[in-house]
Amino acid sequence: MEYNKLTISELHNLLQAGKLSSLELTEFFLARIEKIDSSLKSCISVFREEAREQAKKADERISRGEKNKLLGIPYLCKDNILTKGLKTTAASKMLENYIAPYNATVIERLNNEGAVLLGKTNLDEFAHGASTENSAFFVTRNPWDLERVPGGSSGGSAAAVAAGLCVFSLGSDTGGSIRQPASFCGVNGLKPSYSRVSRYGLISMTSSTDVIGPITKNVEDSALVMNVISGFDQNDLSSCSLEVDDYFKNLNKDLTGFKLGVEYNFIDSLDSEMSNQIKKSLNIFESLGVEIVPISLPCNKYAGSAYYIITPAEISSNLARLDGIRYGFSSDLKSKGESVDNLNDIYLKNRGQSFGEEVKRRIILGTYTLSSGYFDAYYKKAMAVKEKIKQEFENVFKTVDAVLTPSSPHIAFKVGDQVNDPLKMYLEDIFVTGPSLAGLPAISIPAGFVNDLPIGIQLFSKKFNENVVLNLANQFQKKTDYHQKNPNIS
Amino acid sequence: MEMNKSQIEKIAQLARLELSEEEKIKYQEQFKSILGFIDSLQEVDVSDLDVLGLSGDFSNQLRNDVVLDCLEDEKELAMNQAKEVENKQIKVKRVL
Repeated sequence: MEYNKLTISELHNLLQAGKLSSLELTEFFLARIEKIDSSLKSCISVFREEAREQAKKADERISRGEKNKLLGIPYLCKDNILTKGLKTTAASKMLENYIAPYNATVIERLNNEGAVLLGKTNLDEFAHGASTENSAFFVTRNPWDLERVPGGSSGGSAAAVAAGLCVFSLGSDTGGSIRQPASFCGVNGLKPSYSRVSRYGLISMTSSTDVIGPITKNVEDSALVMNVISGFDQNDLSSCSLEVDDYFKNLNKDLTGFKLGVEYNFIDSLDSEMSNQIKKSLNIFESLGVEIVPISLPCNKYAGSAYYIITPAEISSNLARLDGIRYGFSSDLKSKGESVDNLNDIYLKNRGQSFGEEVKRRIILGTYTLSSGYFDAYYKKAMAVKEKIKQEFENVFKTVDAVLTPSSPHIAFKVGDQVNDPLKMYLEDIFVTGPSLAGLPAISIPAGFVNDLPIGIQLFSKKFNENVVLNLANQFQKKTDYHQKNPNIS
Repeated sequence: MEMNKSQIEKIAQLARLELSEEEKIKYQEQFKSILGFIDSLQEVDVSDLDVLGLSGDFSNQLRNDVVLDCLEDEKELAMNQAKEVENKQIKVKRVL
C-alpha cells in the first residue's frame, strides 16, 4: 500500500478501523526516509526509536477508543522548532549540538494530540534564505529535479512532503519561507495570520512576522493540522486570544458571488508559460462562481525593501543571545593555538566562527540600519512603509474577499545558480513578503506545471480569515489534480 | 548609500562578529547592491503615517510577573548545554 499518497483523513480511517497501526505507518515512513533521503537530503535528524515509542503509545490510545484526527499520524518538523531532549540545530554550526530543554507549544500540542514526530528537516541557517542552500550542513534537493533547489527556508519540510517521507510537516514563514518552497515542490503551504499560532519555542528570526504553519499534500490536511496547532498561548506575548475557528468545517462552502482580487501586473510580469498557467487558475475559479476583480497594489514593489530592513534589524537583536556561553558553539582556542584576554573576544570568535555567510550579512546589515544616524532613514521609514502596505491591503479588502497572486516569479532554480547573489535571492519573495508584513493568512497551493516543474498560486485574505483562504483553496483543489501528482523519486 | 571597510569593521565589532579580511571585502561589495535596493524606500511618501507603534490589530498579552519554577529535567537539559559549569553556575572568562 502506498501510504505516502494518502491524506490524513484516509490514514485516520485506516488507523481507527484497525486496518493499520501507527507503528506500521511509522515504520513505513522511516523506511522511505532511509531509502530516499540519502539523495534528497531533507532531514537533519531522524528520531527512529523515539518515533517508534510515540507510535506504540498512539496505538494504545487508539485501542482505548481515542479518535483525535492526528492520533498516530507521522510528521516532520523544521529544525528551528524546539523539541525537548532532542537536537534542534536551526541548520547552524552555532547550534550543531544543541539539545532543546523544552518543547515548542506546537510540538506540545501535537504530542497531546498523539501525532508521531519522525525527525527534523533542513532549512537555510536560522531560516535566512530562499533555497535551503544556506544550511550549514548540506543542500536539500527538489524531489521533482534533484539538480534544483526546493526553495526555502522551509525547503526540507516542503521536499519531504512532496517526496512522501511523512504525512505532513511544519515549517515557519517570516517573508515567504513556507509558501515559496511549497510552490517549488508542488505541495500546500499555509502561513497563518501573525499571532494565530504560538511562536513559543520557535527560534526567533523576525519576531514581528514569524509564524509556524503546516505543509501538506492537500488543503484538507492543512485545516486538520491548523485545528491542533492554532490558538492562544500564554507563553507567547504576541499570541492572539481570539477563539479558533473549526478550519475543517467551512472548506466546502459555495463560492458563488465570491470576489477574488487579481493584480494583473504581477501575472503579466511572468514569462508567458507561467502567466498562461496562472490564468488557467482564474478560469477555474470563475467556473466555481467566483468573480475575478482587477485590483491594484502599487505599494507591493516596496515590500521587499521594507522587509530587508526590518528583518535584518530584528535578526541582529534576536541573534545577539547566541554567544556560545550558556549553549551553542564554543571556539576551540587551544587546538587553534589562539588565546583571548576577555569575554568580549570569546563572543567575537564564537559568533564569527560559527555563523554562516548569510547570517553574518544580515546581522551586519541590521546592526547598521539600527545604528545611530541611520535609524530614521532606514528602520523608521521601513516601519512606515510596512504600515502603508497594510493599509493598501485593507483598502483592497473593502471590495474583494481574497487576493490571488503567483507564489513565486519562476519555477525552482538550479542549485548554485543564485547562491552568490544575495540580492537576487532576496527578490525571490516578491509576491509573498507583502502578506507577511501585513500579518495576513496566505496559502500557496499547486497550480500546474511549467517544464515539468510545479508552480503555485498564493491566496490571501484579511487577518484571521484562514477559513476564507482554506475554503477557496479547497474548492480549487476539488476541480484540479495538480496536488495529486507525485515526483518520480524512489 | 555604501559602507566602507572601516564602517564594516566598526559594525562587526558592535555586533560581536569576528570577520576575515576576505569577508570584509565581499560584504562591502554586496552591500552596495543591497543598500541600493533598500534605498528605493526613500521615494515613498509616508508623511501621513504615525509609525513605530504597534498596529491597531495587535495587543501584547500580559500576565502577572510571578516567578514560576521550571521542571527539574528541563533545568538539567538547559544547564548541560554550557561548556563549563561549576556549582550550578556557568563559568566565563573575565569580563574586563
